[in-house]
Amino acid sequence: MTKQKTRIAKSYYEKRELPVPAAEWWPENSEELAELLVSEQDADLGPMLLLGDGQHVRHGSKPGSTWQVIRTEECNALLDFDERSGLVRVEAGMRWKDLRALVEERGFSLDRYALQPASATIGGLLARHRIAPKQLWSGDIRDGCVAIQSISPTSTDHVPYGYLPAPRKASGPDLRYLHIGGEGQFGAILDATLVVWPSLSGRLYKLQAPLAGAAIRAWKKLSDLGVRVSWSYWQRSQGALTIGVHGPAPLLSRLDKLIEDAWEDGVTVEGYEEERRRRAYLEERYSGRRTSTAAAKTIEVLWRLDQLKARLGEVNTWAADIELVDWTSHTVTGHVVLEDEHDPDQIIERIYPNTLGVVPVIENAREPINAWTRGLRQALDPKGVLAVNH
Amino acid sequence: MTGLTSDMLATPSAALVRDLEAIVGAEHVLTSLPDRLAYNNDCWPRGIILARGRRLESHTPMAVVRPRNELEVQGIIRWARRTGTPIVPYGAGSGVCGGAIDDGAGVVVDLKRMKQLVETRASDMTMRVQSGIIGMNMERELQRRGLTLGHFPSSLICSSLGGYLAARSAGQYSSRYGKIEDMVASMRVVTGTGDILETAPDPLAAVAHREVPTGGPDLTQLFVGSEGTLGIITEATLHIHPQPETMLYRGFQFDGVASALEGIRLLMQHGLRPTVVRLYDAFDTLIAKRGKSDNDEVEPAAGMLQRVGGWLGEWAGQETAHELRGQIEQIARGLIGRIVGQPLIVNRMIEALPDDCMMIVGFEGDGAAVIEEAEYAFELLERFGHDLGEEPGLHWLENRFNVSYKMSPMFAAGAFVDTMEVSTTWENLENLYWTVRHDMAEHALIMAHFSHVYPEGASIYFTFSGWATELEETLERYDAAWKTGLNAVAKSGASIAHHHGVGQSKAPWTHHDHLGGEGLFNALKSTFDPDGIMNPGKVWAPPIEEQS
Repeated sequence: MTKQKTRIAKSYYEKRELPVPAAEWWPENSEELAELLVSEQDADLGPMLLLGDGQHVRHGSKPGSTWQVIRTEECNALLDFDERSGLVRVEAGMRWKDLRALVEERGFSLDRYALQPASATIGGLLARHRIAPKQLWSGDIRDGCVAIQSISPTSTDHVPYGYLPAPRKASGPDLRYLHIGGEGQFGAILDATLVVWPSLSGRLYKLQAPLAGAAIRAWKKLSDLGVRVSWSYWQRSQGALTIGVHGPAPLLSRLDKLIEDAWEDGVTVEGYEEERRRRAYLEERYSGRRTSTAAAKTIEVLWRLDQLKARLGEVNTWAADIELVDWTSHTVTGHVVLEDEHDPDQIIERIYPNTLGVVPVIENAREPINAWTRGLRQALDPKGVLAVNH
Repeated sequence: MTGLTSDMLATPSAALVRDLEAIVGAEHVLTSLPDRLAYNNDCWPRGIILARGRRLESHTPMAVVRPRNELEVQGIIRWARRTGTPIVPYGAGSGVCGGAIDDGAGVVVDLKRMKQLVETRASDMTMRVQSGIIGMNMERELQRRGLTLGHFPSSLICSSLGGYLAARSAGQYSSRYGKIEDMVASMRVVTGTGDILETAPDPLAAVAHREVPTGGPDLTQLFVGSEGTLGIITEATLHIHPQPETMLYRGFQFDGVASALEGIRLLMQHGLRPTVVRLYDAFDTLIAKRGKSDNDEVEPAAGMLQRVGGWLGEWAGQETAHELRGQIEQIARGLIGRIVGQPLIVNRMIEALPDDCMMIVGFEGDGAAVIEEAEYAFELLERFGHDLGEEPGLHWLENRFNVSYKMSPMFAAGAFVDTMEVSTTWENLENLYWTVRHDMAEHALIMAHFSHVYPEGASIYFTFSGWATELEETLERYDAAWKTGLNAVAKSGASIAHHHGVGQSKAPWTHHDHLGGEGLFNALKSTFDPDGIMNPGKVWAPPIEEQS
């Protein structure tokens, strides 16, 4: 029997600008989590919302006056570790930083993933809607996710859906994607199998780039050199493009020379420990969270790389600060903290046509539901068990 | 076409012809017998067996339509909904799983007129293309501009972008550029409801969000691989790359598959990105070496039977004491068809071969880093095998599209040849290899290579061949080989398809890759194809045991 918390910590919801629910459920494992979605519900308590760390709740997830919450953080067991294949399977409530510690104990790492919020759960990171499609080698967690198990309220005989953990299948549509990026609209991710990497070595390169234009040039230069970047970060107020790079030590030594020759005095090279420290710091204070101090004034934008300079020019005057993360060969994600006098909704409306997508970090407005989403909801959650898009 | 007359096939109604002509124009509605027969099969070997036996009635469509643009596709789908007519999207017909065949009552939608490379943009390495374009034409046009998609299936000259996307295709360079699902940024799709949607913001559109849902799941990954069962892909935006300036290739010899795989695993888990990794098992290595003297890249399906006879003769002539020698000599003197008609014996003989196997590895790219990476990789591989220098790699590179489409003589001799591409984790890879070899040994002559590798595992490309005297027996053996092979894959816990898709042939096994997923697939079908008109019978079918 899943425990129901009788005393709900209101501050948790207040910090996230969410209403306090009528009930809060704390399943201790993925079986209990699945059972909550497929069993008969007390209609008086309202529909259910799945919350991991609750940092990226958006798109109509804010329910009506009565609602229940399933907190997934206690579904955090290690289910399997295949060292030879470099695959770890964990329950979806495991936090990113706990997964990092777990794999490091075994001589592995999450080095080649992009920056993620440290407290985010694996299920939340996968379920979160992303504007950009996944891209190979970009460090996107979707790219490193080999398999999931999930449950929908209509799952036959309460049997979870399981995508086989094998690389790059061609066996029909990737049905995982009803849940990956699905914001819990069609069910819950119960566990995930992710690629992990042997701990080899790492570097932290800080490339001087006081302005965005210099950062873009630096990024293109890295690309021309053939540098494989694990994660990337530029902040306007810091004026440097910081990148983490990983690989075998001999290759990194050769890379040091390549980069130092290319940048001369404009680069600082640090070792693996410093890279890990810097990454941990950035992941702890990840700005695209509902609990970050400037969340109410922060918008997340996806720009085309070739338009980045011009588009940043548009938002520069409204922004107190700008961070650019997840650089790829095609796109860059920006977290723009707006000056107090600017309304995020108005800015979004203004810049939207010139972006690939833009959302506020705290978004509670309900989006109009489209026909195909309605169709899928009707097929997978006809009784409205899930508190999304009601 | 002796023995087949038009009255053996259902005749398209006048209303059907009139309606379709109103949508695409009279010259683009094909209803003559030869035209319809041309679309009787894609490259599904079972269909080839049936065609050679003049069994043409079951898969010949009522008509073929050739739309010019997305609006015409939309018109066809809306018409199909009104009339309840099944429709089958068709690119270049190079699929080998029966994914583009009709059941005799539907209309084939041939997309090859939609072949424009609409736009390339080097500033952010993106292009937009219509789905009917042939892969080679697309790549040539890109290379003319100093660009590449990086997608080089061996069928490049006879396959289309829409087919790649529909079936989750992989090219020879997958370990660097990924599979097609890794390359696509956005697609335009006419769904089975007749609606047009974009699966993600299109970076090449004036306004990137025209018909894109602002929340919810990533439709791109739900439509890639859907094989026309949810809608027809009309256009796609894909990531492209500069053409590489540096190309470094090598051949390596290993004393067995196991040591070679260990080297490849470390290569990938160290984060290296070779452009090409192809490991041939012992028999495939032997065939490949023979092919080299013919100046031909020997893709097994085409090369195996042509060369096996000669090789058997040589092998039997060696001073090798073996209990099977007498049988081998007898086989070697016989016809090729008779050789592959004795699969168990030949497979046993293959097991007695030296374990030596060959690998081709290549690195491509720009900048100094690729040279450093390649040198590190070659050093690493030398810990497991013997460096043969660049010649084997360059030979492969030069001949990689000489994959012959020379199977007809073998089918004519009553033999069949087919391929099964499956994938699994490193931990399970050798188990998969030996389980499939063991279980299929009595049904078909079998060999394999490993040609798509990832940090977490790899794909195995099995080639198998069998033979029988009569059509029914050939079909029986063919079906038994497939059933045994896919059951062995499923039993091993591996995926049933890595890059050929599912089509009709593997549909009864799809549930192994998507345990408990039928409800999810049905939800997609009821949402995007509520009338069930889109490519019926493909991707998902009841397990064989339930069908019987």
